[in-house]
Amino acid sequence: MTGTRDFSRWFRLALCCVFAVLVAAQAQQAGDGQPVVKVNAPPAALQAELRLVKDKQRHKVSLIGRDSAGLVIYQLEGSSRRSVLKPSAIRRAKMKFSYDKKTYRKAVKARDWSGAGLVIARGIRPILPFLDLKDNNGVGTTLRAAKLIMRGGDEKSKCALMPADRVVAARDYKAAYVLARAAARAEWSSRAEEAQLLACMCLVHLGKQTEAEAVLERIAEPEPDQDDYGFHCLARAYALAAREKYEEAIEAAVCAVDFETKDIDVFPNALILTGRCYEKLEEWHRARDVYYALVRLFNKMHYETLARERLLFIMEKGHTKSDEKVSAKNVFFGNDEDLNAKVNELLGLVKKTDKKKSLKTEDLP
Amino acid sequence: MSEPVRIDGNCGCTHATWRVGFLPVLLVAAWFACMPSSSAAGLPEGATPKETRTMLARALNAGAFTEAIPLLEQLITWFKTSKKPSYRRDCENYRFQLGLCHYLLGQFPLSEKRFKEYLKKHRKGTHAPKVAVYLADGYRFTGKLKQAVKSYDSARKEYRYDQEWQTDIRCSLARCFLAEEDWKGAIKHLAWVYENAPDEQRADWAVTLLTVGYLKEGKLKKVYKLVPYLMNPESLAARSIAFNLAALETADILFGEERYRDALWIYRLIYPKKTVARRSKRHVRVLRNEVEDIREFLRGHYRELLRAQERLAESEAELKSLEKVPEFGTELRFRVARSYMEIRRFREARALFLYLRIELDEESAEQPLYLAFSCSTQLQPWDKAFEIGHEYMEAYPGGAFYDTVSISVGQMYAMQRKWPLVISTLTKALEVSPQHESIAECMFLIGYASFMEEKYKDAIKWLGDLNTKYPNHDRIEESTYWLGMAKLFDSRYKEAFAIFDQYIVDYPNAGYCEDATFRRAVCQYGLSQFREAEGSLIRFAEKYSQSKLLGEVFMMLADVHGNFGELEKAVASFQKAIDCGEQLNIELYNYCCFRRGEMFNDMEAFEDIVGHFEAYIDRNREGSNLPMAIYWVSRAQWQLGRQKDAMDYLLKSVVTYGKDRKALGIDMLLQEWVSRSKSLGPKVSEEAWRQLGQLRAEVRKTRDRTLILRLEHIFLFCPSSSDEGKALTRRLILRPEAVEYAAPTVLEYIMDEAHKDGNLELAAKAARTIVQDFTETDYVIGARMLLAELAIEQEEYYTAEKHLNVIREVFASSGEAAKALIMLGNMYLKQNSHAKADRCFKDVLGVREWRGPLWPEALYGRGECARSRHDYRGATQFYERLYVLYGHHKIWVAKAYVARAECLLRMHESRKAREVLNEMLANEDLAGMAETKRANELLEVIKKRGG
Repeated sequence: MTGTRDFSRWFRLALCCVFAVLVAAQAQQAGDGQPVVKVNAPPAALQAELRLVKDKQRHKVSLIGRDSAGLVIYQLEGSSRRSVLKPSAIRRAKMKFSYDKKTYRKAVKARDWSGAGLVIARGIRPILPFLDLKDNNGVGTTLRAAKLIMRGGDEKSKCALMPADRVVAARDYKAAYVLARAAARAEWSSRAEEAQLLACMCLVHLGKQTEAEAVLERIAEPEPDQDDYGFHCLARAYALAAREKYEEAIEAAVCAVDFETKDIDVFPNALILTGRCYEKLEEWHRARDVYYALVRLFNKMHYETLARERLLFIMEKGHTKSDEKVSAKNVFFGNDEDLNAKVNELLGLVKKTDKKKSLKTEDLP
Repeated sequence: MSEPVRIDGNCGCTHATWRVGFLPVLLVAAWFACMPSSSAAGLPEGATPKETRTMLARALNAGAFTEAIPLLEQLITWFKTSKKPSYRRDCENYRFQLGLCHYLLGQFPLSEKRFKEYLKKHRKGTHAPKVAVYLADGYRFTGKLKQAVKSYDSARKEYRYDQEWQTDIRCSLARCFLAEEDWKGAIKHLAWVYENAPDEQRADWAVTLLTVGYLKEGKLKKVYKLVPYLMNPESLAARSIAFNLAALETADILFGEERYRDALWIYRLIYPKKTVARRSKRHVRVLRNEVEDIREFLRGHYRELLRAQERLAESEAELKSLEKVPEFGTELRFRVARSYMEIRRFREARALFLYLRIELDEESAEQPLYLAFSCSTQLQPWDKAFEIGHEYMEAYPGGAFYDTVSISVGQMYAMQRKWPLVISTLTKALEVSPQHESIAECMFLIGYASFMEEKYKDAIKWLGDLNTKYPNHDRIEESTYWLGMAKLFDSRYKEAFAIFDQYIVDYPNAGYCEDATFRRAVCQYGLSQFREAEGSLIRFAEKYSQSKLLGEVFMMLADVHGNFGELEKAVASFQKAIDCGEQLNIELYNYCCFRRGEMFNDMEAFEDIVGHFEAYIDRNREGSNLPMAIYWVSRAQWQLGRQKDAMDYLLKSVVTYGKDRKALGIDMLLQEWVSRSKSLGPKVSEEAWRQLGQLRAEVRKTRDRTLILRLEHIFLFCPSSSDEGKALTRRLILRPEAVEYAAPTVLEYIMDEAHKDGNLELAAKAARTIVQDFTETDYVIGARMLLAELAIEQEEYYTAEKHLNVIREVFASSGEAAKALIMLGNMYLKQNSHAKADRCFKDVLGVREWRGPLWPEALYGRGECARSRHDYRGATQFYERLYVLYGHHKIWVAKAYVARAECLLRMHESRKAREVLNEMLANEDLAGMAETKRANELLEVIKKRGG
């Protein structure tokens, strides 16, 4: 068992290294136009069907790689001659890739999110240099892999607020960063910004706040009804929280939760961040509320485990025992719900019967 | 967005609209009609079976089902009677394909007939399981839902299906029930699909509809369990109007039932119509591509094609049904924000209300802005609440919530004791809204804040008006008390007495009654009715024996006794006051102690003084003035003839407390020691200085620099010290390293001496240290003056202005403030800021206490200001006034004569100028002054001009 685990660990590390090299080479190429390698070839030829702008034909090709000018090097099916093509000449690209679905399902079933993400990542490695080709079918899968790996990292680091506490998952965030950066090159896609924002979150978790803030600064803030708005808000919230600006982080997180981005990798994370920020602000009642919602809404997920843990801490310390202070007179908020009792019941700290008994006793004249 | 936001009622969407989304079954049929098919070419005559088979394969491959039908029928006719197993197998295939062709062409009655024929002949045939499903599908598409359900169920019982087909059957069954709005029937199949579907698309479809089912059934716990599965931008939930309206309806009900937390959790799952439409359109595009791809690349994968087409039909139906739904995005956000607010998640609520504030038009944005303010009042610090509150008051002066917001802002300022802001906010509120709903509260707070700001006249006006105009307001009892207090502090004792007197009668059980009783006695004291005051105070002490005011009562009683010269009684009362301990604040405590000491002194009870102040020193309450007490003890010892003890006691105290450079009184004690040493006989004095020298030597060993510097500084006053010794000591003190350890007296010495020596750097360093470390003391005046002077010399006017302003504001009544104003005036004059300069000089002239050399200087300054403005006429008046009124200030008189003559010359009034100059030169007091030379020069000029 140990041997297998070790092997798996080494494999992941190796995969990360390969990705890092790829991205570094691409970044350099994009940055100064002086590529280190002449041809940025994927490990093996990639089967694909291309539709070109000039005709409506489907061209079955093998994608070989990219040259220094970013042209696509390809080989027509049945031909041994290599040709190049401008990416702008391609209207639609359907790349043939697959990953080990059995292993993937196994990892998902075992809730090994990083493992599942890395299985996909291994399968999609050949497509990464071609994600900028218009209307290709690889961006979604790449993002899925990145998100899964990030989710694994979040679970490992217990969604900590401070990058220093996320070091345990640094390797996951690095891998997710590589994938997200690759997906962000798909400028034609409506998900390119989402990818960029995921990369940005990874940077924050890796402790590179300044870099992340610079990226955030560059990205135009999406409209609230855009799909990537929640990602933008969450990335901003992470960056703010890492700078210990907890109140502002909560305000950013609420936008991640309450607008149109209802994404499983945004919504609960934003709630966890909110809860943690409330803890930092010592607004224990509010932290309790947020964790309670997480336990109720995201059961059987790692968010639930974490929220339960935090709830237990708050209740055991008795932080919410005292009544809440009401800061100003004449305010009409009136919600008489006894959430402490509900939380205790949820955590199994009080049996339902006991509660009924005590209620009866209280009712006595 | 232009619609006003509604709080009550639902969003205006009924769930009738979402039903459209569940009735796509018939629409699918229309899709079949669109299937590509070649025109029916008919059966070619004389074709052999082999040729016919080839033609059939070609037709099926091209999707030409109409063309395929006669071919299939012909083949069936040829082979139906054959006994050969291979032909029989072929015939079975043809029968299946024939039914399927009809099915795919949407000819469901024909497909039904053909499929039934198939099942009759091949009940256990290869295609029988599929045929059973297609048959049921046909019923479903033709609206025979019950028959369809029956057929699906019997198919499930009779045949075994793989996961794909089972999922299809369950989906179809669920669709049948949904079309009839039978949620209970649908839920079990949807649940199965959600748990078992082999692909995400169908699972997602099921989970969304399952959620709708649970929402309809009110099973919230089950809805919550599905939340993670709905959190996907590609989810049907993000596109389904059925889902979103059902959720909206449920959440509205929960909100109405005040189950805000549940309502919030559901509201947060909902997408606004705009988003649903956008995503639906996008999804329809994707599905069309998918259908196109299947047709093109997956020929013969009919089931996949059917699934895709059914999804497409459903999506298009949803998109169509969207048109009938009104936009609910704004209302949704408002509800989310309100739910947050109700469950006290004020930060989140505020963020959303502020978003709405920006999003909505000005009129509709009022309520969100008000609610954002309400939320902010619940969050500390209140900075944001104040910001939003003021924003509201600026934007909506006649707004529905103006009164509420303004009084809340006023109250919050009051809670923070920001009295000037209370006054400004509420005064403006009453101007904007004269019929303010909380007018009495506003007036009370303004009056109270004015009292706190020591604006007693304003307090009297506001509280008096309040009590007159609104005699029945809620705070009448408090406002009466504070009106009395304001009058008391404004020295209107008679009126105050009347108010307190009445107050005690009207409100005997009020919280302020005890205090009012005491204040009543204070008023009697203020009215010099000392005997009455004495009686009142004694009665108070008896009635309220546990009162916290007892200390003050005894203190005042002591003052009354003192006033009658009853010193014995007075010291006894002071002692009682002191015995009240912490109840007596430190200022009153110090007053009692030192006043008691003074009375002992008057009684020449020096032993008592010693005992009294030693006890004071022992108690050492925070804020005690120990040096002063030590001074009193030593003084009393001196008076008792124990001079040595007195001198020793002083020195001992210096050693005890002198290490702390911030213990300011120690320097006073040292100075006291020096002055006492002068009154001793020469030998005793010498002995005393010798002892001090010994002490200095001992202290030097301890390396306590602060104390060393203090003692060194004192030795500068030693009568027996030689000049060399003093110079040595001076050098020892005037070192930059000494600055950080030096006590303020020493620092002041360093500053002055260094300035005299021209060592501006050291002088500035000492001055800066004084400003920084002894900010609240009088030592800073000199330090700031010096720093200002140096800054002006270096033309750093901003720095100079800062220091001078502090002096004029913080030490407003001191003579230094006048000097600061003069300096400021001269500085502004240098900068050509005539108006500012003139204001400074005018301010100096406005304070009677500053009469003296500063007034002529200020007057001269005003003249200079006028001259700089080229107002020569005005200037001459100032100069004339100066030499007429302040003739004994020779310097300024001389300057004024010359300046006036110069101005007159500028106005070409040479004759008058000559007269002025002659008058000046005739004044013997001014002879020999530098200005006379200038006067003669001017006379020469006049002469040359022929004046």
